[in-house]
Amino acid sequence: MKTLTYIKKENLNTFLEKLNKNYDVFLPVQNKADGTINFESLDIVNDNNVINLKEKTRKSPKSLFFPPSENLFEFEYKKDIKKPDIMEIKLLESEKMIPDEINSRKKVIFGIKPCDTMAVKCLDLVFGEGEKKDPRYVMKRENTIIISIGCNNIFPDCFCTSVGGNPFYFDHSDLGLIDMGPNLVIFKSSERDDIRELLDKSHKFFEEREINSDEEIEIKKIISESEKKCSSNWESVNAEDIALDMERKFSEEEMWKNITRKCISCAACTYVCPACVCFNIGDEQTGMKGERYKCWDFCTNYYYTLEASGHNPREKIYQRYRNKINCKYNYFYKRNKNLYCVGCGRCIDVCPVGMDIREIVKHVRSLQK
Amino acid sequence: MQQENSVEKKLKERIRDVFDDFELVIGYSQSKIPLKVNPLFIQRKEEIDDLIFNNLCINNLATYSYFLSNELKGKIGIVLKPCDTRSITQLISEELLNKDRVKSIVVGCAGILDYKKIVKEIGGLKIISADIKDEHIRIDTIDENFTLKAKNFYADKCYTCNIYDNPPYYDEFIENDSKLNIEPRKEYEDLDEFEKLSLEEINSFWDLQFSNCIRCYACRNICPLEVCRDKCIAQLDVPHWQSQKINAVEGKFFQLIRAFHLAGRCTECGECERVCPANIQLLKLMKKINKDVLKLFNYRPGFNLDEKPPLLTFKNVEKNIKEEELI
Amino acid sequence: MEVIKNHLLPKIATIKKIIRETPNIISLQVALDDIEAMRNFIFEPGQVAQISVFGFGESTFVINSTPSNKDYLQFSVMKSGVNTTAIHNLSEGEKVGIRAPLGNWFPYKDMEGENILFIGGGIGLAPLRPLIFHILENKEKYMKLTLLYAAKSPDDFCFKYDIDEWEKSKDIQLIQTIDNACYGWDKEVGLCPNVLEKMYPSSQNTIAVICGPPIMIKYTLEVLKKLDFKDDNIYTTLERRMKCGIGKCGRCNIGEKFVCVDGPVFSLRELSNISESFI
Repeated sequence: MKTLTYIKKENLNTFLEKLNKNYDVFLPVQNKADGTINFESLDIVNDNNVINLKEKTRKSPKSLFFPPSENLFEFEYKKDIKKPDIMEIKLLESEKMIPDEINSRKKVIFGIKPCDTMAVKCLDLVFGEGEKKDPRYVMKRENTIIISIGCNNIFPDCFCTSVGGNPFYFDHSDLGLIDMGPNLVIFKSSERDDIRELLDKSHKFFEEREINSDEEIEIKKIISESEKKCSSNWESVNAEDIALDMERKFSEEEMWKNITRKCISCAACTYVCPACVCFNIGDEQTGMKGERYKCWDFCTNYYYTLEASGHNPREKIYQRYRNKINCKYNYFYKRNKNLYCVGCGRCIDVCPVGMDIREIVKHVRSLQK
Repeated sequence: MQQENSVEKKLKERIRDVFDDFELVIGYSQSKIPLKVNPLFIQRKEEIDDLIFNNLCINNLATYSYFLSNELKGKIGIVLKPCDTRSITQLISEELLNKDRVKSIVVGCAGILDYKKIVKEIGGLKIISADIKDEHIRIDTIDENFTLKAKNFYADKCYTCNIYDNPPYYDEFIENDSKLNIEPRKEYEDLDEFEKLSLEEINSFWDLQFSNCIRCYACRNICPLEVCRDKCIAQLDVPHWQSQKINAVEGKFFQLIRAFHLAGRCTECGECERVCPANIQLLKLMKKINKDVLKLFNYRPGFNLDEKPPLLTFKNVEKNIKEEELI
Repeated sequence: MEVIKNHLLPKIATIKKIIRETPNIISLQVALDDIEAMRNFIFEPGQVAQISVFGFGESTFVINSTPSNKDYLQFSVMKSGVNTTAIHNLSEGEKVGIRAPLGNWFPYKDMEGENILFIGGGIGLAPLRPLIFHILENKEKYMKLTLLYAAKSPDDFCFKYDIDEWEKSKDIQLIQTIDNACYGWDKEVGLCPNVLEKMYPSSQNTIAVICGPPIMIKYTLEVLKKLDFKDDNIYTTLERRMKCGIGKCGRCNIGEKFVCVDGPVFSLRELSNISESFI
């Protein structure tokens, strides 16, 4: 780094408000009534809902790319008087929704942590790549600017370094910032046109000067301390090895039964996970009109693989949980050469019965039975 | 790490004595997450050493009773607090549980701390580490340290509890030298403010609360009385009661289904509110319905093994309902 | 801006003909309303489609008409749940939605020069039907063809019109069997695995393709192993509950394979490498 481009924290709120005039800004907002932090629009910030960039959010920002519920298309049955015994169907394509997204303003997600941007990479691998991309996802992704802030503080349930991440991983962010006390320093900036446009529009908030050697040392220190702290939360996981271990221990039914006895097969871990994107498709109809929708689903659910005949390949909780762990640490890796867990620790935080994915994986890999 | 206290010692000894009668014993163990505990499933005698019992043991282990008694063949022992035994009693009175298969090992309770209350007090900050000593809770977060007086942070149900050392039902009772020592409050006192609101205000309140529901079903699955989790009408396609969409309308519908399913059956253990990721005030709704059931039928769920729950039976004439006044 | 196709949007098709195969199985012949699309529709034997009855939902069926037929697509539906009951209640002229073709197909090119042993059970003949037709249309590339078709009773055989053709044909040897003897039945009697063992087919240069109910597959595979068939030379089709059909929703996985993308056709060698496959 030759130059230090930074914004003073005291100017941050004004910068965000100015940004909100041209973009839809989303950032971590804390509800003072109960203390939870979630990604919300800047519009709701007031005395009771304050910006909090330090702590982890309860839910992940994936709903900004992958909404909990959305309509795929609408349909309408029509009758033709000339052919009274035949029904016609008209599909009201939701392709019309895509022009809406083109015309809508660009989004800025501010204050997202590096683990969540690694999860955006996982989402890209599912919806944004290959032959069958999801057009709405691609649209949302292109219209969103990701401004990430690295993690100076590591919590006990963080383990991004164990799964190939880093508290200052900015490869999937458009702008990567480091908190250096009174200032937020730009550590990485993408070359995209819309980023340059954003920085140009906000140039009066950012100052630029030559970096001095003390500051260079401080940045290195911040990064290495966070890395060290995070690595101490769990051992490093070599993805290839763990996929093999998972496969090898798959049929040990008694072991899986014992380590998943606590699980109550709810969706808490799946829905707060920034990477999990399994979905369900259903039809709703009232009278002659109806719609087909897509909504979040969870693999620990009894109904997930229930077939019409009544047969269920994963009838018991341990089979579903075993599938979930394998999906994250084995199958996704085999398909995409990427682990499906980003080490954010939200599942550990929200689980009603204290299932800790690190303990489960460690137990599966251990040599003792 | 806390040292073994005297009631833990008694509990462990008792379980060691009777362990051979059981196929499985469920209790509490330490958790790595500060101020939380984990359920522990003991199948071998050595594992009894991991048992703990202290004022962090908020989980209601009766959750596992129905499903485990169907899965296993032998007897199951569950370590319970007196308030949790109400769930077992209610399940037995509804004939969902066989009292010879599930044995309640009840421990006298000195009160339990409410994690969500503590987190709210420290402004929602993430707890890095915590310690409880001499009735004070010391908490470290990233920037600040806090010291809280434990007696202000007990669960709401503790302040109205009068069964902490004489449970309504037990197979084994372990007496606790520490007794619950907090200011008692009147039953359902926290609903007084709420009941003063107008119907529109109440409706807006619940609309806002339920709009956050993401239908994770944590509340339904953790409830000891909702044994319907694999047959829930909120998830079935046939009959098609509800769409699977996740939005405010569907969230409200699901929570109302739940409220009616539990009317007159909820033992107010508070687990649903504890586990909700969206912090919905579920217990308030259940308590309000229970208060109405108490008024109409003079029935409190989970106290009497032989009493039939009023909404599951039929009486030609109800003592407290004057039918002529309803028209 | 690049226009990306939405793969979750079905095409509308009209039911041209409904054939009753057995008391609880019907076959639908549907043609896409878009005439160009129908004329240019290409699929391989073994691929499946998601059929929608709007208002009820989608279900997966194999396209069992022959790939060379450009007039219609045929699907066979057994009545078992909400969607299939809705399909059974449709009449000719009504509309359905189609998303096709999905999944992989039988590697018929790898089967050239070999003997082929088809084993089908009940409606399990449906995935084999397009393969049999394709191979018969290119008979010169293949060696001896045998079809062992098992059903519970004479009424439970599907595609009776094809069976008549194949009985007369010199290109394929047909052996039918039912579970228990019944009046008027003069062909084989016995469960599929037992009849197969009695047949004692040679495993030399022979590829076995087997489709049917899971329990039939399980026991028949044991017999094939006994007869020394190698895992590379046995193919089968698997099914799981499917929703998106394009490998995104996550639910149809067997191990790391998605039945809607890497299947439904699997060789036994592939399945033996996956811990979760319960065959």
